[in-house]
Amino acid sequence: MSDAGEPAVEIAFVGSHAPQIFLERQDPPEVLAAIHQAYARMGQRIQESNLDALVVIALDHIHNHFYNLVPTMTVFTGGPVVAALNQKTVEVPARPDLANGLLDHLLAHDFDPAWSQKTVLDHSFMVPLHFGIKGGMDVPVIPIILNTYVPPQPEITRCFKLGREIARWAQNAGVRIGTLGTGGMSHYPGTHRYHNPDIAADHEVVSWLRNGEVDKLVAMSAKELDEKGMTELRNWAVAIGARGTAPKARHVTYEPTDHCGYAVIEF
Amino acid sequence: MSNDLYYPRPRHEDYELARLVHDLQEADDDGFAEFMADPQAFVARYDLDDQAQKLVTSFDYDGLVKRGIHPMLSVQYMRRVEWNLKMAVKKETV
Repeated sequence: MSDAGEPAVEIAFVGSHAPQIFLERQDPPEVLAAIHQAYARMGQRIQESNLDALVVIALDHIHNHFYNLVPTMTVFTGGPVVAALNQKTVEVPARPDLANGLLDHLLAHDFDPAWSQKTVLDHSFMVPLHFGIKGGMDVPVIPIILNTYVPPQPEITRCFKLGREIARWAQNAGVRIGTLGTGGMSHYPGTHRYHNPDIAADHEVVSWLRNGEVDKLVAMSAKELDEKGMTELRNWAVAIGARGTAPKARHVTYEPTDHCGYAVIEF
Repeated sequence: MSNDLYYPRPRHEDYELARLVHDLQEADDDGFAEFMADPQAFVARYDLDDQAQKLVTSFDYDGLVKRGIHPMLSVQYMRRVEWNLKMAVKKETV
């Protein structure tokens, strides 16, 4: 329950998952150090929150979900949770009982996610989990894979509503849940704009989030999100929505680079 | 709506080309080495037009994106090809 008396998860984080954060071969050391420290803090804060599970909302960079079937959203109900990047893997415990409870709740409340019992998640899960664990996080994970890159994607307002529904499920089930939405901020992998992320747009979004104006983020159209290199902020909308209708960013780390705006933010 | 996007909606006409690029991305090391050893022979297994074949065998990443192949697929293909080329040069110089 939030301060406003509405359903809300115990804690929410959003954060970047760029492989470079893990591979450490492209960005200035001071930028990496700041992001690693922010993720270590996240791991600590999540651990202190005594959660039953952490719902991690991330994506699939067209590894598991090719065009023969592109689910809009998928709840992982198997176990353990395994995520990989360049042959390095992270394995964390799952809570299939809670994941199935969440799936049932969503199906009964106007959402129709796909589900999966076996998949190796990609770096969008691996990078934040790796650094969270380094920070002391030891909590079961419920992954949700959102289609953020292959149009047509879900509207971001729908993603925010998914977050609200996660909060209602947690309240009804009497479980302590946290959320982590990964991705962003502005970046354009694989395009001619790779070295020109929209840093001004990043600052604008961070300022909205500091002021509790997530409504401005979820008012963005699919085209605007694409133009600003922010398609992955759909994952953020889920995590933030689970924390309340207008939660404020409480602790912000933001580091721009020449290819991506890195952020780790607590709500 | 998708036409002017950085990440456009995939064209169904290019499914086979995208499938090839995805297969290369997900191939194990032996599978990818097979492609690098003889790109033309590998590509011939797919039902592609001449331009599509050329884009892949000439490692034309920008051309793939221009054709409408998802930039995420193209860049992951590019990284893998370039890594393999780099490793091949290293081997030769050792």
